[in-house]
Amino acid sequence: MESEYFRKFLESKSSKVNAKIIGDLLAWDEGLQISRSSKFTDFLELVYAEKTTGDAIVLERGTALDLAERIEWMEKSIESLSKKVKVLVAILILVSLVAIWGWLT
Amino acid sequence: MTNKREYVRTMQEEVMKRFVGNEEATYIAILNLLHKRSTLLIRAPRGTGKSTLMLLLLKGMFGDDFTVISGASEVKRGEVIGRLHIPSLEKEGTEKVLWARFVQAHGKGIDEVNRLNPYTTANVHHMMQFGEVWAYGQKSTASDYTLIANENPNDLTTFIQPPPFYDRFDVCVYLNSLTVSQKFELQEKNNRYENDLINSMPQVIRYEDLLEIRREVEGTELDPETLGFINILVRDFQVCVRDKEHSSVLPPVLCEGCHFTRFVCSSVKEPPSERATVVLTQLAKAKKWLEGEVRNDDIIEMAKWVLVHRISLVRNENVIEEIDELLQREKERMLERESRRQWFILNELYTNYSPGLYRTAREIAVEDNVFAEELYALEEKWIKEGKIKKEETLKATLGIK
Repeated sequence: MESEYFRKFLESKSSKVNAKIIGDLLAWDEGLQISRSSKFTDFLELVYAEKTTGDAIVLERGTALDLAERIEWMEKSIESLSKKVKVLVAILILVSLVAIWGWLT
Repeated sequence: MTNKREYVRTMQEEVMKRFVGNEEATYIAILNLLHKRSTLLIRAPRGTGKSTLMLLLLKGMFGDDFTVISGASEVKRGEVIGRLHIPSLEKEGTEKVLWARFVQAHGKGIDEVNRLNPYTTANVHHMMQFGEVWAYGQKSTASDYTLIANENPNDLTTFIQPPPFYDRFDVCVYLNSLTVSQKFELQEKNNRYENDLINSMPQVIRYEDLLEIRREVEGTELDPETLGFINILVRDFQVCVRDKEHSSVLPPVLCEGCHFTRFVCSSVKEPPSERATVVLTQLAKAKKWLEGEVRNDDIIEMAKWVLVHRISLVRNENVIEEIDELLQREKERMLERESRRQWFILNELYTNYSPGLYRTAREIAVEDNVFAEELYALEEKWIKEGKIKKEETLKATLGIK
């Protein structure tokens, strides 16, 4: 037999839990706990300093745009370099085939 | 003084004016006085103030209207319970019982309780259990009372008192001997009260006020979470998946190969009775009534004095230290339970069966035998409802009968 007091205990405990049932899964938000001693770290500080002061890293809009532009340029460079690599591999295969044919005849 | 809480605070102040050190034990002893048929056991080595504390508490509550019997002297039934009224027997042929002052007194003290003879112990035990005493086929019902006893557990006695007798004492406090500075403090107090600490103790609470306080404490409501904390804490000390309550083999031998050996259960040879839950609830109510709140840390502190005489531990070199350590482990375990959101999951499962949540609950149950027991109960329900098969249950997986 279910105890009414026990159900009240479970309900009281549950009311303080910020969790959701998603399908068959249980999910909750832990939240970001930032202590007084734990400060935010600047992005450039992260890049150039050996040690950072905090657990969270913040980006200024300008730095973020620079970073996005740099990533875009790097992606384009990677694309162009991979095309060149493919052509060089094709030439290498062709030269190798010609060399083998010449050696056999 | 209209505020009854002030009476209790004054009582503590007056006791501490005459008693040195052991503040925590004294505070618990006073909290324990605030519920009906309060019983307290004071344990200490010789000459550390156990009789003094007992008498100070009795004087503070009952003035001179209390009765103390001593196990150190031969106690006859007539002195403790009652004796036959000889003239009635001779003249009328009727057996009339004259009930002893110990039975009738609201304040009762037993000095050196471990030296009582078995007959007296049996009578006192019966009174503590059923609130009545018997002599010559006649019964006397004991009204609300306060019983304070003391003993030196290291004293060799002729008889060994049975564990169920000790279980009837709500709390058991241990007193420590005095440090150098405390010895000076005692000398000062003795001088201030002309070496008569006990007789200088005033009656602080009238009997009518005590009854009213006890009614108020009884009516104090605890929130479901505090009740839950108490119930889970005591259950942690009782639970055993190998059913040690009914086993002739006890821990540590019983625990060999058990999954739950890192928990408190494996350190407890004989678990506490359900009285531990009742007393801890009463103490929590008293604390809330007196201080306005009771926190989980308070319950952990109070549990030490509720459990110490009710359980037998695997390691018992220093029972107080060992219980302290186990209670600290309990604190961490309670936090783990919170972080797992296990009561939320159980609540959801009570409302709706969900295979995914059930899987999570099974994983939690492997880490918590108290939670596992509740899941077993749900599994039984789901088997009846055809939601799961018996061989799929956690109980079956763990091989628990």
